Amino acid sequence: MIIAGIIMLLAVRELPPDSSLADVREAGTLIVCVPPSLPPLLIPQPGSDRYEGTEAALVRSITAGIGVSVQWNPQPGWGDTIDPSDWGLRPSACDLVVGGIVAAEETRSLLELVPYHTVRWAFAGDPGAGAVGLYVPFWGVDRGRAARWLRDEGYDLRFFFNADVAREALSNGEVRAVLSLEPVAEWIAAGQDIVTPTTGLPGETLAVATWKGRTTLNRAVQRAVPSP
Amino acid sequence: MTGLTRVLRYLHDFAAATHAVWLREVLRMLRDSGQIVGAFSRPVLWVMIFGIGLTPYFRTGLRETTFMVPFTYIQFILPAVVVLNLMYPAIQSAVSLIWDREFGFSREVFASPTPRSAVFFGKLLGGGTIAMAQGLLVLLLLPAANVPVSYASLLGALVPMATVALAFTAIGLFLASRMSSFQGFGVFANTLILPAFFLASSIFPLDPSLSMEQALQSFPAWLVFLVHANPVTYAIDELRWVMLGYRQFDPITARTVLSAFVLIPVIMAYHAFRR
Repeated sequence: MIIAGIIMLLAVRELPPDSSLADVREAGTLIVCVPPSLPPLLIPQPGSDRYEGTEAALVRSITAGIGVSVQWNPQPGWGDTIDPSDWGLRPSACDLVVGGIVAAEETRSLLELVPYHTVRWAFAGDPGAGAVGLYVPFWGVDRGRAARWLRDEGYDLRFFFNADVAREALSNGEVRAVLSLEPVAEWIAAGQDIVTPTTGLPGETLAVATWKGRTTLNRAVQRAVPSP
Repeated sequence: MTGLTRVLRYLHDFAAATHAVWLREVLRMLRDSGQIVGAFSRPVLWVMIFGIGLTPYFRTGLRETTFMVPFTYIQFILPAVVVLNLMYPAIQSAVSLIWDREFGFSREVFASPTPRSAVFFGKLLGGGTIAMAQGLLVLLLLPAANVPVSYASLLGALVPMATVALAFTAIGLFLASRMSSFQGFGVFANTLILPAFFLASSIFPLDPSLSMEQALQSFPAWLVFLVHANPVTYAIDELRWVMLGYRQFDPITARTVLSAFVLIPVIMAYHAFRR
């Protein structure tokens, strides 16, 4: 009787707790909410509704694993304010949420995260003396802590809210360096060998996410995404 | 015979008697089909049906719910079901005390040189073991709730689980020591288990981001008071911390309450049992 009970529990736990994966498979498309642009993670392709970049490649491997195509759903309000409730993101708009999401209490409260890569903070350029830029387009990162750390280190701080502006400011000498997470810092450095990781701030874990309660889809994403 | 030999002999006999009573309790449970059916059906009903059924109403999408919490409903309720599956067998194991008294077994045991304390600890540990086994069964459903399982979290779960198992076995022994009818014991047990479970923030959260004043605006004061005064609340909270990395209450308060929660019923049950 005990063995039969254990077999029953093991069988019952395999029942799908929701229909989110089945719904995606039936539609044949995985709808992905993304910010308008976040190079080099998500780079919109002019003249098409496609994205390239490291997270776009990750999304393609997820859709290949599930056996569906991808449909991008850019969210114009993403990152406009500090309160994500104001960005216009809604569970009805997409199945997957992707775009510089970092594992943190705020993001874990709203989404079911699938972490895929741990990254360091890095300077693009030599901070030396002078103005240093801070570019943090990541959802969940404590910008205040990064800003405090830069000020405590004695840097003259400038905030950037656009990757192209940050890259331009670095290339024309407006700032001596820009601090960001390493992949973005490398993009801002524009191929030059001037990126220096810093240990002054703890590393962050990038993640993609499903909405809470969409467990079967979340499991399928976990299977397709490498562990950090 | 030297003093040391006499002490060792006493300890050996004490351990042997405790083991015999413990084994009797465990074997009794293994032969009780009603308990086994309950042990397996409770997790299925509460986790797979109640938990999955309410998960869509607990989604934490933006602007969809009041609470911003890092879990789904099925994840939230699973640690509570572990505790529920500990409470029932722990209390029910004490029924054996009434049976033993009814059919004369207690008279024979107490007439023998076996120390009463050995019988008591055998029953306490037997009930605790049965409860722990049934509580651990619920952990088989962790993958269904998408809760990552690690050895560290499993080991960490054992402490609050053992606390509840021993505390409720002791409460059961205390009640059974003072009662003579099975029906009366059953009514008392249910009257105790269900309120203790429902008033432990088991099926609804008190929003941890709220201050006490704000919580009192969201929930009636009597409910907030009873949830805070219930020791089971803190056992479930400790389990949630171990399994989900989430807690609603202060950990020092929780551990203090749980220590008292296991000690006081054990002392009370021991005294009632010796009488």
